[in-house]
Amino acid sequence: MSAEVLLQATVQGLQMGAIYALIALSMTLIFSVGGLLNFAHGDFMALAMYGALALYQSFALDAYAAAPLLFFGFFLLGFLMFRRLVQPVLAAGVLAGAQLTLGLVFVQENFLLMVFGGDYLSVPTVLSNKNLVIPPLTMPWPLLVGSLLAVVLAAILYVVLMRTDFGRQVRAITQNSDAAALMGIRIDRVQAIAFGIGIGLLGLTGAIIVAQFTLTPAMGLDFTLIALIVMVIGGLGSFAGSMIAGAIIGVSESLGSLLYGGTVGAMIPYAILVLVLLFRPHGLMGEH
Amino acid sequence: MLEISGLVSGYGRISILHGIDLRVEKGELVALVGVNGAGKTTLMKTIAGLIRPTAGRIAFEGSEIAGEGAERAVAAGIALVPEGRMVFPRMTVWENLMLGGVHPRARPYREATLERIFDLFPRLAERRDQKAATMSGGEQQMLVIGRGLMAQPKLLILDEPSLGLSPLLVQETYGALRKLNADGLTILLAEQNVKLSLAVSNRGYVIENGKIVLTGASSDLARDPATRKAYLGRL
Ligand SMILES: Nc1ncnc2c1ncn2[C@@H]1O[C@H](COP(=O)(O)OP(=O)(O)O)[C@@H](O)[C@H]1O
Ligand SMILES: [Mg+2]
Repeated sequence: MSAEVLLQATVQGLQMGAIYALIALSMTLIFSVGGLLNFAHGDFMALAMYGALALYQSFALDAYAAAPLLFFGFFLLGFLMFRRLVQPVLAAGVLAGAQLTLGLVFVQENFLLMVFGGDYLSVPTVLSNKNLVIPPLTMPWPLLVGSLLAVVLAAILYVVLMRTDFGRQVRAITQNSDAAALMGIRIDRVQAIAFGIGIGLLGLTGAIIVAQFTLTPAMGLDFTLIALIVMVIGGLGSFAGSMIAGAIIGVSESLGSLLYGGTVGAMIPYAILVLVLLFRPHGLMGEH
Repeated sequence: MLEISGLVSGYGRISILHGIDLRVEKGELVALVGVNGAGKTTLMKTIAGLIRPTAGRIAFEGSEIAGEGAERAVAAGIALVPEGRMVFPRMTVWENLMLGGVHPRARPYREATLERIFDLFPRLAERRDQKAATMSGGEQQMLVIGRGLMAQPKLLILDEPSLGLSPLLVQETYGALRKLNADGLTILLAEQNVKLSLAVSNRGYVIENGKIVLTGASSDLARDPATRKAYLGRL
């Protein structure tokens, strides 16, 4: 096997890794607000991808142009969902919350199946089927742009959470909600907005990577599992950890399927998860 | 400034406070003393809006705030420095202080208040970028008092600020409270440390099993045989 092929696979793995990291970060954000483990995480992104498809079919709107629209649409969806659904259910306990998101998996997958059918679909965009060639590398533009945008979005999310009053309020609620209340923080509102941003990011992520993927109603689960793995390996709540874990998973998956075939390649992230949990139960960069 | 009457409050269906009457005038330093379990924390939390009372009134500068929630209390100008300190552990001193002034009422004055707090507690300025969890109990106590001040309170309520501190740090904390009060801040102080709190306050209330059993000038209370017998017996 030539060095070029290995390099190619590594670069592609790093690019996927950036996208995985962003999905894991939005999952972490949602988890940090009230402790909801969102098993429907990838399904929201799938929903956004189909949303991009619908916008293209109805209005010939390019997915990249639709990205801000999908962000605001999904923000609103997340905001309302938190108020009307998540908060009341979470009051009954974290298990009830997990059950709710499992239910959402079926609702969303069946909704997509009913509306769009079970066939594989793709969304044409300005970047579809175009490659950037820098010998010896050939990089698909959709993946390149998607991964760069993912890094930028992760950086913006970092700044918002770590350097703004809003971000400090989100973290304060996570660290001590009674003390946060004493600061006059409107906990319900801040949580609903943070949750909305988490879901909104999924709308945005779906739009910026849709050109790279073939759509099927059940595609969300794979992303959910990868996001969970990245979140746990990186260490809950650690930005650097998520970025590193995303890169590790992306590269190992890509090299693994190159060297040992797709089936084995897809198993590698789980093997890494087990190893990390054995030696570092709180993840690579986790606190506690 | 603060006028509480007939206040009944507790947890769930269990009443802990059975009709509390208490008043704090502008500029006063008032002590609420009582043994562990008497209901001091329950009263402080009810005033700060963390617990909804089942009966009675809490008037602050003439407007009713009972059961209106913590945000309303902060907006009205009440800041509670809670028992057990409750810092935001994984945030720096500076971040903790910023959060203290995050309410729209306080936000415009944060930089100026920060200067004042660093003057009052130079240690906090030195530890500005240190995570709150890594600080000593005394430093954390200074931090939560500073955090309370960041809210620009008209009334600062402190729940057992001396708990778990060495005598030297207790002196330092109380020195700061005296100074703040001398500068015009109204303070309500809940303490088990009867001797100390009656020494710094103008007036005091003694709470027992959720009822006020004695009230008066702190100097009189400190001399009162009933207080002495119940609370100062060991001294
Ligand atoms: N969260 C709670 N739920 C039920 N009872 C409580 C709770 N917190 C305190 N209590 C009870 O309320 C009474 C008064 O407690 P508290 O207000 O903390 O007293 P103090 O601050 O004077 O020590 C005690 O009997 C205590 O056991
Ligand atoms: Mg107490």
